[in-house]
Amino acid sequence: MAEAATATGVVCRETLDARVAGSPAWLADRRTAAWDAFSAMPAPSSSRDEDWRRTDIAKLHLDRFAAAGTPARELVELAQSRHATALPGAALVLCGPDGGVTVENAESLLAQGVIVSSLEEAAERHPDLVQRGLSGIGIGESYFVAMWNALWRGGVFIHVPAGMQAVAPVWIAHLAAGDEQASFPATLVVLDDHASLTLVEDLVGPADPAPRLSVAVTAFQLGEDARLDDIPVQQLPPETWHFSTRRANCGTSAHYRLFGATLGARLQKAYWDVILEGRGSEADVFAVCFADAHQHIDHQSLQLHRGPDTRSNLLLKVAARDHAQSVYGGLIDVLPGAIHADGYVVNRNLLLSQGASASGVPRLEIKANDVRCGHGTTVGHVDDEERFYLMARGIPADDAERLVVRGYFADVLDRVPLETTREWLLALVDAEIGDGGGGGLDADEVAP
Amino acid sequence: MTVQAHELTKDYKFGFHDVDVSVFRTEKGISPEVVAAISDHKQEPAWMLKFRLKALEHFFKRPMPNWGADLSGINFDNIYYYIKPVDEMGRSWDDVPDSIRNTFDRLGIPAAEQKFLAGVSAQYDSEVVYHSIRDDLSKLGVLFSDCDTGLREHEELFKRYFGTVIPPNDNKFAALNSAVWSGGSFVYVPKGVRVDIPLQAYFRINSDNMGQFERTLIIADEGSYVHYIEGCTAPTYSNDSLHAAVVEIIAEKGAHVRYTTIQNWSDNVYNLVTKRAIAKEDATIEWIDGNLGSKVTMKYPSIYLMGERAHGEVLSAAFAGNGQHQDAGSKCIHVAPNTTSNVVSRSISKGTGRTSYRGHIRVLPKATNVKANVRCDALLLDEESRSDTYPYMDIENPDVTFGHEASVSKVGEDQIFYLQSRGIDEVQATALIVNGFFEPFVKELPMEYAVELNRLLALSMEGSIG
Amino acid sequence: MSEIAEQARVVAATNAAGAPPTAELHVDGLRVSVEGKPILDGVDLRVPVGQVHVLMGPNGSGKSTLAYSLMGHPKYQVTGGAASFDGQDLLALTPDRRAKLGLFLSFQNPIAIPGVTTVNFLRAALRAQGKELPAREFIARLGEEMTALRMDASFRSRYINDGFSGGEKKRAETLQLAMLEPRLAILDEPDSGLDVDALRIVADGVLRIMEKSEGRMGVLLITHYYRILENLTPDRVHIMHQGRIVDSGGPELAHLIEREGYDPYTTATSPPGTEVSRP
Repeated sequence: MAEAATATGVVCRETLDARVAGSPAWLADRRTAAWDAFSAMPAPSSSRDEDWRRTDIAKLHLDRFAAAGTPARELVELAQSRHATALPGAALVLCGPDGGVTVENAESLLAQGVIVSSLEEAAERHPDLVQRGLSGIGIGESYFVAMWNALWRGGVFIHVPAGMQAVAPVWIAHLAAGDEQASFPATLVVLDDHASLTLVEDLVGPADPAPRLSVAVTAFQLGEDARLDDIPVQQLPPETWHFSTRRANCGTSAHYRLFGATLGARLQKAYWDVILEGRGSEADVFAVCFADAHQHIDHQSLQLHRGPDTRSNLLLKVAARDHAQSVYGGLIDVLPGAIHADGYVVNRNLLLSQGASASGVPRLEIKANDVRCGHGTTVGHVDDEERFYLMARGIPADDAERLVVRGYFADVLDRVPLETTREWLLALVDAEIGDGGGGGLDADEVAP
Repeated sequence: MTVQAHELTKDYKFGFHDVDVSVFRTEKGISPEVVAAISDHKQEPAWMLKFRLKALEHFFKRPMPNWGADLSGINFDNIYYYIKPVDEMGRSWDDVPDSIRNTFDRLGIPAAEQKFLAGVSAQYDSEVVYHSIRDDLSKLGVLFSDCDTGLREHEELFKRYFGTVIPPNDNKFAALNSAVWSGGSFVYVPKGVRVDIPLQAYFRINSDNMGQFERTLIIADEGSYVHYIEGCTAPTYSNDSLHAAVVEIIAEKGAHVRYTTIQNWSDNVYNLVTKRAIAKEDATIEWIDGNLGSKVTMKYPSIYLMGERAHGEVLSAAFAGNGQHQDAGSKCIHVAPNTTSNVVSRSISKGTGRTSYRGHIRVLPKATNVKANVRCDALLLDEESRSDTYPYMDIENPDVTFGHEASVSKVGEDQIFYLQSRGIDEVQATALIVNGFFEPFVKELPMEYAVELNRLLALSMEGSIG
Repeated sequence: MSEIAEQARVVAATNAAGAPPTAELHVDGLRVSVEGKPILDGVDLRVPVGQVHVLMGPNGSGKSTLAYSLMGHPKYQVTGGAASFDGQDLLALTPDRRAKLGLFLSFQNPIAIPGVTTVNFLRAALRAQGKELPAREFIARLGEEMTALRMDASFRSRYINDGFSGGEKKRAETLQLAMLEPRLAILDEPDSGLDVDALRIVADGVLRIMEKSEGRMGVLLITHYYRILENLTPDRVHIMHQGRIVDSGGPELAHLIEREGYDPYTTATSPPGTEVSRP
């Protein structure tokens, strides 16, 4: 542990000073500028900020969260077992909330000239590359991004050189912080022209109900004709406040694909942005979200069409049970000059209980005329006929519901390109639907 | 009903104005004194003056909306809030001064009245100058008058409903209207009475720097039916005018109200209107809302589905030409179980025009078995054209079937080619496609209005193709 | 070229027999690209008004591209050669001007125009082409043609091609052909996706329109199938392969294709019956 918890929690000037002391000069400057911006900004407010109207964080008290310590052995083992089950061939990067980073099973990638390392280390050794990786993230663009810019630690940096197809996927496990502690997960990926990579980012923690804070940024730079398959899984502990920004900047003809599963946290506000800069760049975002108990899960997507002939497509399927609230905000923004832009959003919501709710606004802002853009939103419930049919075949009501939800998610999960990962995700989602509770740490999942 | 290229002319054909014949006007600007002068001039009961002054406080207190269209061009100090054109309201067109009557003749109102309307009200600046209703309807107890007459002659009924659907503090412009309202329509349809042919109100701004603040209250008693149509035009001035109306509708159990608007203000009018309806058990509300004119329109006709099995429909069409911003949409709030709503919006942006659809569907926790559907389509005709879609939804009951779909595209190259391959030139082909795009809206209008709307569209389409 | 000389003889013979001098579609060395990709590689073709010419060829040989290019679709870029009708340069004209000149394209997959009824559309097209009929006469004729094509009266008020089945679209195209009375009809696979009965109705329709035109209409019929030719006897048959006309002949050529398929053209180095070949 580099710093001691103070009375004001980890989000404080002292923490910044410690981070600055451990950073190269350019990064120290960036952290300081970010802290200044953060300090000058009010926290987002549901009465003032349109973006936050449906997600109220008035009860978030930052000073409650201390600096994170080293992760428990059980948690490390859980993260390892998930990797071993879902994608054992992938290089494994374990990121502790305390900044400790270990890289395993990456020999073949390193031999290729691919960089897989801790972000702190990369900031020292490859400052140009890291700065490129950070170039899509504004220093003070928002409250939580500014906080992250100032305070992140550890982190992962991946660089795939031009023309290189990474021989193995990379599995990144960001381990949740301990009780009443904060973590600042960081992932930066730079793909040079014609490079490709498959990535899993697993945000994982124990099922215990202590509050935690997680403020994450994941940024991708895709060069010309680069390909990235990105599989983010969020299964944080059930009382976690989770704020994340995930952004892919796509160069000419680049293709970004996201296959996501959002399962954990008490309150999530996640921004998923695809910035289609280069002519002919494409993005596909497919995700499922299962929320129950008192979860409040907010996804905000941006499909920014800057270049001509760009294409984007998003499908987000949410199922909400108990008193869970799903919020979705989407924007397809077609800038002048982005001719032949083709953008589409579909947001589907399945409400499973009285008390569950879905809300949001899928927006279109179109400033070029030769385009084809659209969106669809639906909210529905399990069809009584469907339930009856399954029950008439002898399936109990709960199982019938689980079957229907599984079927509902199938057309998203079936797209996950890696078979073992797909199977694992299906099992993960099944378990969420079945256990009626938050986190993913069942006793029998912990390796002996 | 097709647009012909040779019909296209450049002018807004309603841009003419008459010489000022007004008999009374308040000084420019807004103050408690101006509000008191209006109330005093109308010899209103004390409670109404109190209502107005309270509303004025809300108006002063509330900030300008920071969303939607750009309203920075409005100068509240440079507006006449009340201009009375004549001393007496006419019951026959012969009673209306020649110059004003001439205006309405040119707008085709008396001719339409004879042909297919059950009643007509014509407002000129701040007051209704002509008003009539067919005898058979008034014998059945149907009331149709300007709102001031409603207050004067049916105070009890008026007071029971007035301001209950849209309270004075609802928004800044509703507050302004509540403070300075004048004219508009008061409609009461008794239990079980069906008014099968439409009532029409026509709103005309004549003066420069005018603010028109008509107020409409429609009460459809149990099991009744009424179709109310409003049209509006104004002269083209270099100074901006403001139109801030408030329309309240109450549809009692089993009643059915259809409200049709063909808004064709000149392009110096800020059109900021609050329209809201309450639908009780088994009632139906339909807003048929067409926006072609104005500089800026912000208008979101709303339906509160308060009673079981109530049904709401919003069918809107918007056309934004150079420099125009149509920020229109709808709200459907499902409060009761088994309620249904359906929204269809079509919009076209041409030149530097901008259309925005802004809608809200809300399903409250007690509203089970709700069905709601929203469909928005936008066409962009030119490179500088812009279109936005902001469909808000808040669903708090799982027992719902909600669907929303939207699309934005330009006129299809293949559609143009297909029509051209049949000998139709590009301008006509575009006009045909635009007409077709608005067809779902147009076919809900009475025939005479459909023809008129297509003609207006043809005018607006002028020069859309290089 | 012997093939053109042969056609010139046919035309000359027809004229000598007392028929009025006929307009003709001339296509000379036409080269066309789509999104930068060359599709037509020098097409030569003559279709005189009054004759039925059939254009056959395997999938992707460029048949529809020729049809679209002749009608002037903006996606089809002419990179070389010439095309004229009745002595007028087609390539300089917008599609509507070509239609006014007398060209008609029956689309393989006509696009829907929501909100525009078939009857309004037809009236607009007739008016645009200067062929407007008095309302009563128009309705009567429309009724006649629709009956002949066994189309339900409800078609009139349905939006053009919107929600039409494949067969309905083909009939609607044929109906337009009948109403617009072009001088040269290019029929792009009017037979695709039709069952035997529907095929007969469309083929009979085209035949009837031909007969009614009394030699004032030429037809360029694009098809994959021999079947439609049982109803429509062609004057000439042209085979297209890889963006060129590789063979032309009488109706017997269609019989040959029916028996042997396109293999002789796609595999042989020197296709039968022609000196035109590709390396």
